[in-house]
Amino acid sequence: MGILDQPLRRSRKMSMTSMIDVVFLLLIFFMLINTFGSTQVLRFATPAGERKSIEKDFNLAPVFIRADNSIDIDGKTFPADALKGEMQKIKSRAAEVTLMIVVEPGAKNQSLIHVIEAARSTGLKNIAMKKLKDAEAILSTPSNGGAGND
Amino acid sequence: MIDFGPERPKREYEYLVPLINVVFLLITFFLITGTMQTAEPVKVELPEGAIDETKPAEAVTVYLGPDGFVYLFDQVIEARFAPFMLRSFFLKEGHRSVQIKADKNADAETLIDMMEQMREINIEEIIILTEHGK
Repeated sequence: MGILDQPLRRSRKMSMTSMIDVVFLLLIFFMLINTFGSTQVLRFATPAGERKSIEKDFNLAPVFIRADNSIDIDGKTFPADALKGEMQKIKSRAAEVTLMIVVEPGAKNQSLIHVIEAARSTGLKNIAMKKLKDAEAILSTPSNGGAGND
Repeated sequence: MIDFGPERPKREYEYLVPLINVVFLLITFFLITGTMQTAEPVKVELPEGAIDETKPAEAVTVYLGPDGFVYLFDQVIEARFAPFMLRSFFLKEGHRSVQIKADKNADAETLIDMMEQMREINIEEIIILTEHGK
């Protein structure tokens, strides 16, 4: 019997189950390892060294973050959502304003971010961040031009 | 009685092509929209924020955990000693951009210390990561 005389082998329908298994595994893998963009970015350009303002109309505005995370400006306590309005007032005080965020021991990072964001959103460019013990020396000198940190 | 014609023969397998199409589309979606998550040395709950600026292409990530420890690659150190570690690392490696993943409940003083130290060793840009507020 020749090859041509042999009955044709009918091609079997390919089972897709294994491929689907693999594809589902891939899907689960990508779902698990992916992170979606909920992370945001706050950028700070660091100045080279301390600087003094040459602007005559200059104001150094201290904002205190207390140990209990309350935020004090000019002796008054403000909630985080009212900070933006207060920052506007601070900005209008002088042609050049440096905001000095003074952090007491025990204050948390979240409060610091609230203050920075409120300042940024009102267009305050010069932001200095100091620990209380470092800030005391600066604030006790009335003529100090402030330390720009932003 | 209405005649619907002869009954179509049942397939041996369920028709799976549309399902595979959808699954491939989902895979493509996850590939495009997602970013690979790197293994993090510490679980950090980022502070909530509203401002989002453009992220630079390359930056070394430093973690400040809620426990007050600072994590840099495989190095872990107590926050008060962290400035020394950061100084020696960045002076050696010569990076110019650093991103800080600081826990929202970490001490703000530690974060300021870290930033001050980075400024002193001529890090040009510091990035603080926050999370979109709920």
